[in-house]
Order: sequence, then C-alpha cells, then structure tokens
Amino acid sequence: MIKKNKRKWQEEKLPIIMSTGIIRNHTVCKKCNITLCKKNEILYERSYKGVKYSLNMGQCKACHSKTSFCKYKYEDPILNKYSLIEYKRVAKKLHHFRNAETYKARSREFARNAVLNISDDYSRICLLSHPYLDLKRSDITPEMIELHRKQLIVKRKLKKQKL
Amino acid sequence: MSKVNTKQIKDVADKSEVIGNKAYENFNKDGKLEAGKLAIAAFKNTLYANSLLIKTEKI
Repeated sequence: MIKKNKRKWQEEKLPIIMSTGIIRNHTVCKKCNITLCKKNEILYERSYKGVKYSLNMGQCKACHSKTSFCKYKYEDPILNKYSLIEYKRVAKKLHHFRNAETYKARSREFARNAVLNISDDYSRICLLSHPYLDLKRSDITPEMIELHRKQLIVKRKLKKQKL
Repeated sequence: MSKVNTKQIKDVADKSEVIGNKAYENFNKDGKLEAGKLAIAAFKNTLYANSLLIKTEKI
C-alpha cells in the first residue's frame, strides 16, 4: 500500500520535477513555524526513473542542526569565536528559564525514586560492586536480584523502626 | 578447588533461602526486629553460597 501511494505521489509530481527540479511540499517549518525560503530550507536529493530532483522536507536549517540560538557572523574570526560562546550561554539560560517547572518536577521524582530505589538495575549494581561476591554481569540471575531486593526492603524498614 | 563439596554448598543455599523467606514473611506480619535480622543474614548466606557455586562451575 505504501509503495503504491508513493508511486502515485511521484507520478503526480512528475511534471513539476521535469520543469523546476524542486518539490516544495512545506512552506513552513514543522518545529518552529518559520516560513521557509531559499536561504533557510534544506533540500534532499532524490531520483525517480533516472531523473534527479530535490525535496523540501519541512525543516529549517536551525532545527535540522538542533541549534537553540541565532548566530550572527562577524568578519573578525576572534570576535566570531567569542560571540558563539556568549550565544550558547544565553540560549542555555533561556531554555532553563522556560522549562524550570519541568526540571523541578523531574528532580522531585528522582529524589522520590532514590528513597524507594528497589529497581532491578540498582540491585544488579550493588551485587556487582560487592567486594566478596566477585560476580560478573552474566552470573547474576533474577533469583539473586529478588533476594537482594528483599534484603534491602527489610534493612530500610529496620532503619525506620530505629529512628 | 576441585575437591569442593558442591552438594554441601547447594544444601546451605537452599536451606538458608527457605529460612530467609519464612523470616521475611514473619517480619512483614509482625514487624519484629529479630525476624528482620534473621532474614537479612539468611539472604546474605544464600548470596554467598550462590556466588561460590558459580565460581566452582567455572573452574
């Protein structure tokens, strides 16, 4: 089904390919909603029945390179170098300011999980780092992990009782 | 290491696991300190025995 649809789409676009050689499906960037122009857009090379054409995939250059800041090119190379560092610093601060709530929630969740850390990975790491057991990753069985988990639960409950 | 009695180690591992599970259940019911300590010691023994068995199998 996908192949048939693709063929149909290519046949419909054939006259455009023959005339201009570029297909522009998207006029706006998918991520940041900036209008795409010749300077901003990225074109991917494709071929259909031996005819080469370029495709606009709906992403601007900044989104494609995953840059979170706007860069201005200075003529002086040293100035250019320092400006890049400053742009990055400002962009990082802005990003943290915008997403402060999500970061706080994430840290709260992390702290909550650290108290109740009874996951498989945690007990596996504990067993691996134990000095007298001398185990490798392949030696550890799920039964051993369960035993270690029970041990942890009892230890933590006893600690609470003492407090 | 070739003269290691693997049967004895297996027995120790199985018995201590059974004792540990019983003590764990008791601890969850009553919450007594002694039962908890017993469970921890028993689980520790089983882990040591299992690691010993793995080492003997490799040799």
